[in-house]
Amino acid sequence: MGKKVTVNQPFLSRVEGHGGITVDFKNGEVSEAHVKIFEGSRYFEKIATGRYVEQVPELVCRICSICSASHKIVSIQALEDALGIEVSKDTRDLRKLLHFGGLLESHALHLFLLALPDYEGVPSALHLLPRMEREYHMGMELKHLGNRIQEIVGGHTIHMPEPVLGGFGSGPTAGAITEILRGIDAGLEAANRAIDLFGGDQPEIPLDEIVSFVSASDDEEYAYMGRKLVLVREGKREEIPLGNYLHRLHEKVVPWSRAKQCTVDRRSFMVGALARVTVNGRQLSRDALGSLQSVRPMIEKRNALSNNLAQAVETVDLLNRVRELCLTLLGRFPLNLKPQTRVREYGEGFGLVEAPRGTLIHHYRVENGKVVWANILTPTALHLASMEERVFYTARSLAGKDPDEIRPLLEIIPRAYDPCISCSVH
Amino acid sequence: MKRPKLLIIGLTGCWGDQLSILNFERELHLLGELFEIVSWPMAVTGDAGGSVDVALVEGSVCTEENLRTLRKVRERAAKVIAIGNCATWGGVQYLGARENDLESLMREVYGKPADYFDNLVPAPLKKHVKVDLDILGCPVEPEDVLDKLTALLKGIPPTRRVFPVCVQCKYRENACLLIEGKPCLGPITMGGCNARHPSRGVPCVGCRGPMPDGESRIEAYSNILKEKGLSEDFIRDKLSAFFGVFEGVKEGADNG
Repeated sequence: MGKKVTVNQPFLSRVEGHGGITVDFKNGEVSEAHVKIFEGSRYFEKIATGRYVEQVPELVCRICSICSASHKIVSIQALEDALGIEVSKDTRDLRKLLHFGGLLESHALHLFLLALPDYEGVPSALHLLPRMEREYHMGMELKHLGNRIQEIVGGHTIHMPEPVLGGFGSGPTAGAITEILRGIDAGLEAANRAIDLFGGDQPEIPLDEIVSFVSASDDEEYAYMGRKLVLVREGKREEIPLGNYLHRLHEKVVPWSRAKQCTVDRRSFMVGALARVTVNGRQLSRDALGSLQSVRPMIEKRNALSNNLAQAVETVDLLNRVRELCLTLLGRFPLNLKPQTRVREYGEGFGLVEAPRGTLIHHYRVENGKVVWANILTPTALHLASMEERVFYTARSLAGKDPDEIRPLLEIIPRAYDPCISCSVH
Repeated sequence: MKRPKLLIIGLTGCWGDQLSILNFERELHLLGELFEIVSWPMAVTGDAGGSVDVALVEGSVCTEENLRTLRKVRERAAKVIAIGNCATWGGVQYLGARENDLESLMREVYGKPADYFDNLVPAPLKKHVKVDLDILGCPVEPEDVLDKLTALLKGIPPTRRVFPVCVQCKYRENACLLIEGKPCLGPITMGGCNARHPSRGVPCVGCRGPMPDGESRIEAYSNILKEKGLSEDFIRDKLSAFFGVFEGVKEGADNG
């Protein structure tokens, strides 16, 4: 009534990285809501500066373990852009396959290990056993498939040796690619189960609609990589060429977060699966479109929990694309993966991929074969402001309730955004 | 039989060593059966409290909060195992901020608001607390973690096998990249990763950290690379990535 109440979750669980939530209530109103990011800084842009270009991807992939492949790929692409390196079609397609593997592993990890417990009212995925033994093992097998793709294509599940600047090392064998194909059907079973689980009963928590989204976009296909961004805000679309990102995406420092917050025209926006489905949903593969149709009402609520469902839909899409890509690649063996040479030792380059959690940009300036300036925009940093707004809204709807009741509900929000906090600070 | 109590936590890093454990997809549920997982924020909500038999800690100490957490874990745990390069050697971030760099670095990244953040010079766990065992890797091999964890709990001194990456590389019958003139750090790096990078035709980057006699090998190794025609500048750059701990390499590795 007249007093100040604080709801504090200092250490979020079942998210990657260190973050917390603090909400202050005064006289029954929310006076402040913060997502506090206390993950340590590691100064990756500085680490990249002054280094030979060959070294940089191997270092910056260590920004994150779950999206290690995304960072490696986008870093290499940005450097190739700077140095005028044209890679072969086989290289491009194989990198796509690696990227799909990383996306699958991440979505499976998030859906079955980190988020599902919230829907089933248990503290961890291990607590799903034995009641949901089938779902647990399905989810783990799907995660395993994503990891096998990364191991087969890149050489490891985390901080993999391949690809390299200009191409690949030795690349995978044809036999290993067929192993991937054998796992697709079981993967689709798991993906469809995830659609049921995350499209069904939702945790009871008041959530508002998200109206601003950013995603990479491509005219030819559903973009998990691209050369342009699209902002969708209250139904209106704006294209942002990659080279212009600095003019539209503004980062600012806030004292409660080592990760910077990002806005476009001073307003927040979300990135990730829900953003991609909102911006480019009509380009999903046929099966995924079918899955989307079956859960359209929940997706169109466009609240934080819709993101989980969007990841499940993407999982269906990814598995179909992996199958298609493997069959295509098998027909082209032996692959032409030899690293292509650079035409110059200097330049400015941009790379854009959709990491599992959202839009990821690497931007470098190169002189004499060394990076002299680097800028890295990570997905979780891009939508921290959006995440905070959700917490504010939900807290406001829960004002007056017991803090012990409010706290676990608020935690569900950052979890649904699937943050990669180490990435956000880097 | 009472299950041993396990705590798993990350400080500042990429969370790759914890992810490696989660990557044991088919065996993960066994971890829950063999151990009582008292605390593991990445995967489990809630801390059951109290002391634990063993704590796995990844990440380096980069903030005051990291230090507080580490000290509390050291108090709670009978054994502390450092997992991964960040925890054992300081990690890639050690490169970014050493003693004289930190202040100016913070200003560069955050501007005036840098004062809000209580950042420390990145350090491995052993700089601040006693560590019972180091498990190397970037990330660690999950089999290593399980092996050493079990041995420690049984009171068996874990075997420490010391050999360079080259040993496993030769075992896999790879063509030697160093002989081809590529800057492969295999000869001066701790093996145990089954030579993943060289087996894909990519030179070893040294992520598992240096061999125990590393500092003495550096000069000899640099000479070999110079003979292959690589510049001193390039060699220094290559060495400083994960080997920045050595004085000789540190001086040249200033990212100004």
